[in-house]
Amino acid sequence: MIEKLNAHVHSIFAPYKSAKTATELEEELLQNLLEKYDDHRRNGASEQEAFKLTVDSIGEVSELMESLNLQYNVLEQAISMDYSRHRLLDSDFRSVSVHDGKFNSCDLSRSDFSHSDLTNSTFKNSNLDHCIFENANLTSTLFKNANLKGVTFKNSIYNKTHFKSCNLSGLIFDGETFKQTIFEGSSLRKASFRDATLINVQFRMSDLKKIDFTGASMDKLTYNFLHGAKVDLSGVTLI
Amino acid sequence: MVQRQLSSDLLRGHVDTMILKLLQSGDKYGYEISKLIYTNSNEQYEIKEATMYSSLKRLEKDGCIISYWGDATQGGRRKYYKITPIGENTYIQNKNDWEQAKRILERLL
Repeated sequence: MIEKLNAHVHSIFAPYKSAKTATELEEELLQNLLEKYDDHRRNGASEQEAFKLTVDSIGEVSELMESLNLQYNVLEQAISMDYSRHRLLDSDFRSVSVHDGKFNSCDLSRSDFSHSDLTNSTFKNSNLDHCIFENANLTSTLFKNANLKGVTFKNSIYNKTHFKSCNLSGLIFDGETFKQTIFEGSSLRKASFRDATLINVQFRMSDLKKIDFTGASMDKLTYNFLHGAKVDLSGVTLI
Repeated sequence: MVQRQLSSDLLRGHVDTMILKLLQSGDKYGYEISKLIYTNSNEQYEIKEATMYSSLKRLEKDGCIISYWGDATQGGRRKYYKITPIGENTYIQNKNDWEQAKRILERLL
């Protein structure tokens, strides 16, 4: 019966299995249901009764899926520049100002965005492999489902920058200053924030294993977020 | 176990606040939350998993709670939820809003 429950939950999540958040929710829901099933059995329900009660307690599957897909609530603003769906490998965007620029679904591998102003720009589903963001203004910039492998971030502005569903594993943010930055559903495994300053930074549903905050300074809110996620904060200064 | 369909829409609108209240007495995982809602309601409200998770994800998105995986127990690991200072404030605000709405409804209904 436990296999049956497992199979039932798995079938609900099957179409969403690529999303990490879906995999985690599946694991979480299954654990709840197994415990619930055991309790029903302990209270005298037959295997069939317990299974039915447990499965019925899931409720509306559509509601469950909506919870995975919370709408991104920043307005899609008027387009000033649209570079979407282009192959722009090795492009030189140095020192350009592209407020509200859209770099969606494009290949920008090895492009250089140093000294550029990318305020309110979006990089959705784009390949940013080995791009350079030195002295870039990333205020309210959104990186969503972007490949950020080997990207260099240095001396940039990260006010309200939003990293959603991105792989930031192993990236180095040493000495950078983050204000109201959001890391959501992203992997920050082994990322380095040595001597960085973090104020009002949120880490939602992200993988924070082996992240390095040695010598970092942060406010209490950020600290609490990370502390709850059991991140090693021994070398951190509270500000 | 009988599922009472007690004005569930009316109750659903307050699930966020129910969860915030429960988390004030310590971190809890999903099944613990649904069990407490059931017993604390005198077995009159059984929250659906979907309703609970849409609330948990919303609360997490709004910074009211944070989550972390606990150690594996027999079988699987549990994800725990913890209330943040933002969540504490939201709870107080929601509770006040409810008290005010209750007073108005008592006059009108």
